[in-house]
Amino acid sequence: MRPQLGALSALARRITGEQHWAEDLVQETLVRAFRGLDKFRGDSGLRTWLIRILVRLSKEPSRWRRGEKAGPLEIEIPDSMSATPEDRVVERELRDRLEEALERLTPRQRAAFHLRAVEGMDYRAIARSLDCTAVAARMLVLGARRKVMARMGRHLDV
Amino acid sequence: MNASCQFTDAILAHFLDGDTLPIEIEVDGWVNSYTADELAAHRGDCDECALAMASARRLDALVASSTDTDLDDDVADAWFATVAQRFEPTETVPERGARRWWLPLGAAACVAAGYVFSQLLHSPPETAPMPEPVIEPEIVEVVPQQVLPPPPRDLIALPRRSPRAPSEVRGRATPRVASPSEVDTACVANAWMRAVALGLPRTREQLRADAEVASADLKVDAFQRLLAGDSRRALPAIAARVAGWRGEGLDEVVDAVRNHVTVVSRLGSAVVIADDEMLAAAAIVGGSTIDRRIRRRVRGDLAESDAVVGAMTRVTHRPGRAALIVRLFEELRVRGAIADEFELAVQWFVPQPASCTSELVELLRRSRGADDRRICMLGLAARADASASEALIEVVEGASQDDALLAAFALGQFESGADDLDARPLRREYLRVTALACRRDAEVAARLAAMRLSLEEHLFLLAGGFNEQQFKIAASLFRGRRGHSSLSDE
Repeated sequence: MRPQLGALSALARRITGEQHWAEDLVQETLVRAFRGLDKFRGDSGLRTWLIRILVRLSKEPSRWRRGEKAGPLEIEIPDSMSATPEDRVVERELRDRLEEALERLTPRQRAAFHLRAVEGMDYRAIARSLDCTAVAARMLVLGARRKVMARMGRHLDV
Repeated sequence: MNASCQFTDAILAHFLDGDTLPIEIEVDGWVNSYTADELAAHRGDCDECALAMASARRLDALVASSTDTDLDDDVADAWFATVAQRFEPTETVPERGARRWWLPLGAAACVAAGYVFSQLLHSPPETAPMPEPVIEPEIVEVVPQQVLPPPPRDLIALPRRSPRAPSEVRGRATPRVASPSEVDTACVANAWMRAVALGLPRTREQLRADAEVASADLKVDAFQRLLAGDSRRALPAIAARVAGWRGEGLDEVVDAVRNHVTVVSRLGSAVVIADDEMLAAAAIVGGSTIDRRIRRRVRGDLAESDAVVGAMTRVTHRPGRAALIVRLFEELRVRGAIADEFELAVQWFVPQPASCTSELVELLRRSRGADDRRICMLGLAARADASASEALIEVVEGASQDDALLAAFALGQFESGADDLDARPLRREYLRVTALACRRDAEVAARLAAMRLSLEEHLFLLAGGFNEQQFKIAASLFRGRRGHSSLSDE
């Protein structure tokens, strides 16, 4: 399970928007996964199975979270490699806007968009992870993308 | 994206997400299914869809690049350890049928022992003679009452008991931990009471010195206990202790926090949103993740940057101290928020502990960005620490003319005789002499005598103590008006 932890952690961070909640969610996911390991039949990949547990758990914060106020979405931003300081400022502002835009999505939209853009899953795999139909997964991804693009406006112009 | 074209979603789903499901599109009130070829034909004709595709591609790439899916092994280990603990039984549950036959027997024995003990205490001396206490007169020194110092004023003023918060009364509240000032006061009181009891004449200053030693140990112990508890609930208290720490023990406490992976992680998350105390604590603790978040929090705000840099001065060992200051400096610099760069460098770099110089040197050697190198050299110039001399001389001898000039300026800020620059010929000799002139080195006067200079120029060069701009002028004078063949630039 260790190789899956990075992906699980990134998804949990995206859904919960807070590092320590993400940690709690991943830990609870691991606990559930270990307990139910005998139920893993291998129909889907291990990562999809773990993501499915994590997404299900995320809907019930009381099972893994104990009364603490949520903060804004936390995204790891790697150091910029742009050439000039001006470029770096522009890029940082772009990433800040992205962060704000993602924060305004619903947790399911965030999860679906993350699974598509970061994990590269197709709609069917997203649907398996989110316990929904492929059409619903498509609506979630397109809805998320539309909202974020509207919020970022001309910042995404090529 | 304000898409008015009905095909945009279908185009994105098909060509960006590889959607093979049939998609129905409503156009002019009619719902139709479109094939991939028809969608491709539309995509070729529609500017709006082409733009949406390009923007969506960029967005996906941006989201992917902004997401860190790497996880430190330490964090993974900590998680697995926590998960493993969840599977361990917390207490031994007795078997349902097994009776604890010894419990009533033990209770009866306790009652009987208590009764016997109370009878012994209340019995007259003749029936149960008690040994006389042995008093050794040579140990106990009786001191007249007037010699004893009065109790500390702040001790008298201290409320006996702080009022309870309603949540505390109900039970599941964060356990109250004494503030550092309360611990200090308690230690002074303790020392004062012991001195009175033993009849030892101690002045108030002596008492306070004793109390400081005792309170540092006590505070560190209390902090360790706090750290060992539930890090989520205790995080604000931990941050408050670290940020508000006074006196000895701060390095020890900060090391303890740095070794606590979960607390560091929580602190890193909280610093983006939390109060100034959390920011100060994070600045003291440091580390790559925390530093990255501090930069996000204080980006472009001189006041908050000042607070962060100020907090860092309080701890001796801190990873990435120089790197963080350089980054904050750069943020302000690109925003044009710095009036005088050297003055800010003095303000930020000078109060930092000695290790900052070696960090700056390391950063200067491996940095490829001109901005970073400039800030490092300004920092070294501000600190005027001779241990950086070798690194700066390397830069003076290096390929970049601008870097060489700034490195020479930094060398010029050192005390005369702090290094061997006066006895060390360099490739850019005029920069060496300018640096020596800046230091008001005695060697320069002889050089000036051989140069063709106006009286004003002569006095200017002789005065030394140049700022960065003056240093450039002085360097150009030494280079252009040289009357000496050694002042070449190669």
